[in-house]
Amino acid sequence: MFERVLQRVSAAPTNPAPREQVEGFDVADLYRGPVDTGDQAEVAQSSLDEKLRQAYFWIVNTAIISPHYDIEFNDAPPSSWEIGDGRRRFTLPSAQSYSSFVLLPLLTFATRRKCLFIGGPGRGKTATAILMGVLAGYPVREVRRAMQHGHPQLTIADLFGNPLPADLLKAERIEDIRIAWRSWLGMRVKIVDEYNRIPTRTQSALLTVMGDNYAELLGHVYECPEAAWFLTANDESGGGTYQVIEALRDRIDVIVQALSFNPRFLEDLLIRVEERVRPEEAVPPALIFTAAELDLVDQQIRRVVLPAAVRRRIEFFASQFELLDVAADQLEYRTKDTARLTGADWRTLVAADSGRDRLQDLGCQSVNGLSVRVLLTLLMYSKALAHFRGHQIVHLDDVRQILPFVLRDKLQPDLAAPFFDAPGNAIFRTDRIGWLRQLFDASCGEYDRLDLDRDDPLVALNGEMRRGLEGVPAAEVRARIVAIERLVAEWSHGRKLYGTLADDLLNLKYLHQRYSSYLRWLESA
Amino acid sequence: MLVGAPLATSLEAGRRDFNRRFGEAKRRFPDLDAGAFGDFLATLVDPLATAVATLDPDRAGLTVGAAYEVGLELVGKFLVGPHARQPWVEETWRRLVPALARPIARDPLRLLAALSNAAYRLAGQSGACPRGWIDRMVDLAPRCEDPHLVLRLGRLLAWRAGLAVLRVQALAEARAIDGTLALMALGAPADANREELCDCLADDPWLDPAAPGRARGLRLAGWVGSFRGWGGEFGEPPTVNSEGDQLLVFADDRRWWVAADTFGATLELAPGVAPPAPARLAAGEVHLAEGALWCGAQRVDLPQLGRLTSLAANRHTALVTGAASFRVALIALT
Repeated sequence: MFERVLQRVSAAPTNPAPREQVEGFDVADLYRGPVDTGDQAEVAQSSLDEKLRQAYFWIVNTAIISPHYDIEFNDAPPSSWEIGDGRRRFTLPSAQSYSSFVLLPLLTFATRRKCLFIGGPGRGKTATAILMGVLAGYPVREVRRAMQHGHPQLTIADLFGNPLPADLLKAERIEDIRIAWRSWLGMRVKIVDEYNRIPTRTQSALLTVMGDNYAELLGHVYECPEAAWFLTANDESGGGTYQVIEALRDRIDVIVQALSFNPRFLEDLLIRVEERVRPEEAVPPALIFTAAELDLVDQQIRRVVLPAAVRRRIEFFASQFELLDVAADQLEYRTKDTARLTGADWRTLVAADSGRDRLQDLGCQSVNGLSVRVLLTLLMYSKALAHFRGHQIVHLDDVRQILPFVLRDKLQPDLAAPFFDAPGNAIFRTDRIGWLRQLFDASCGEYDRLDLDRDDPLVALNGEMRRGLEGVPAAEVRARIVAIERLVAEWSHGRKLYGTLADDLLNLKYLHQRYSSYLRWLESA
Repeated sequence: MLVGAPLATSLEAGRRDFNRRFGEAKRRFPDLDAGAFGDFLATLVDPLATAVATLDPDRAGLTVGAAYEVGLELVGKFLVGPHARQPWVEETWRRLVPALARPIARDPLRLLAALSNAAYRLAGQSGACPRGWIDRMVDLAPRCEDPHLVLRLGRLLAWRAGLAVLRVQALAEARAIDGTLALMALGAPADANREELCDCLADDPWLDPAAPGRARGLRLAGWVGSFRGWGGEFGEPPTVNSEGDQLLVFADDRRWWVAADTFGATLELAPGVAPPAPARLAAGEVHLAEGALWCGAQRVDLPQLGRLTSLAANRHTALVTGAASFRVALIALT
């Protein structure tokens, strides 16, 4: 009986909000309405976000008991109170909110990215990963057998496969040796349990698969299909039996922490014990995603629109962190990455970097900047979250909620920064999610204070360049060059060099170069 | 309930299945009224069944099954019957569906659902004319034997019925279907050149295909939008602006895309929050002054709007708003 209960999927819409339209009207809309047209493919296409939401709610209500709503959304001012001696805020969100422990893996599943589960043993990390494999249509037994378990004796052959022994004896050329590849390489959901227990040499082989999607053995290459990856570790800092190589850690897109079990829900566990039920064996067939559906979800997510206003805030945020004024003479090299590459002493450099307000400057809170890979991941997950919520455009809240999980291991805090010594901020030494969220909020606050939606000269200048140079006469090009130089001159007067200004200056340099080259071409013609 | 032989035969042959489907529908629509559904079958499905049985007897059973299925949704959702919120879906079944019996018999489920949804859509669009759509579809039904042609014609005539947002797609349909049928659907003279006419319509939204050569000029072409309390869109007097050629209306921190042409005007709500763009009183060759819109020396007086508050314009159309009205004036510039 409980099996039937487990397999029940709600028929009610999971997010009954009017669907946004990005384009004004789709001609097909004339014939879409309250009556089913009988076109199943069309219906399926329009409801994959609903299917993802149904999967989410089935998991949180039935499979993984995760009554957490740490990803909070509000469509009205929420109710909140200060609780405890620390007077920390406890909020009851006013809109549909989600558990990161279930939502992030589901978004990873939909976008075919890489998710690391961290947390103590027995908190459901592996169980959640297995559920993702079952959602992809694989039998539970196959998912479990294909799971790679990290241990100190794990070899490359264990990961990839072995040459056929008969071929090894007979072959006269390496090309004649056939490889019995491990079946997990061909799966669309790949699970690596305790990846921080894999020996370093084997980690390098794993990196090839994770990073470049192929496995190589004895000169033979196995091209893997696009897959969602789920890795587990008890420790997020890359420690463990073996130190995780930085390149491998960097390939992970999001990190999600297994939140502690709330004993008030022990009754649900009791039912599991008494009914001898394993949720991963009772996933409703209606929630299984075919390969075609996953491809379609990926397309739908990529089509979600990121409005310019939201994009500008991400740009402004990302510009804060890379600049290190004392790292070099030329502006392009004045970065924290330059300092890291030379192995210079961080504390010495920071001490020499005077003149900035180290409390207000958000860049002073981190020891590194954001890479292109991280920004791509942030954009993709923001779209995925918007899609999951049934939206066709990304809202700022989507970015705000997903950003801490994307940047968790990517933006490293400088714990010696004055920010962490300020009253009330010591908690952010351990609360990485909270730190990243307040960082983004502070950046958005500064963006609004500078009124950059209305007063950003680079928007117009970049817009001019995007419209192209064809047909622009030399006189106009000279005028634009003068405008750029005038702006740089204006900014050079008494302005402290912060990260955003540095990036804006480099943007102006880029425009100046484009126009100068074009002018030279015009004048030589 | 007295019904004709074709319907009675089909219902009897599939009695168990039909009853099961009614039971399932009753679970989905708890307020599904058996009496109302019986009336639907007798008054709206029976004529269709009789017509299909005459034209294509082999398809009668399938057609009745599809009509039954669609009918369960229509009655269950109060789109037809005594509690229907608007009469046009039922009117479509009463007049148009029997007229399209032949194409419906070839793809009954798709066509019956699509025609019902189209009527529903037109009924819900402010300024659209579902009666006009039904009238023209009925007139041209004898020329439609193919289900795809019915759908193409439906889009074209929905545009003529006031769904201005369909203009581009409708003109594509007009180019794709038979030339004579296209001219009839456009309401154009029989001797007109279809391609030339479509080119002109594409270039000039205010061209009337029934009289393409008629002299026109700057004029008040209509109104769009109204007060939300009276079933409209706006909770406050709107303002207008433009992004390139796209005309926009702003109100209540929302914005709407405007499509307007000789057949009507539509507002489509754009997603997200949108604070109003700065109001302008001049755009290109047009400007507002003395309670009127001016284009060169010509003027259109707009006393209904009170003090004029904003103007947006592209090559063909200007929108004007005023402090005294929730409506937006549509000015044809061509």
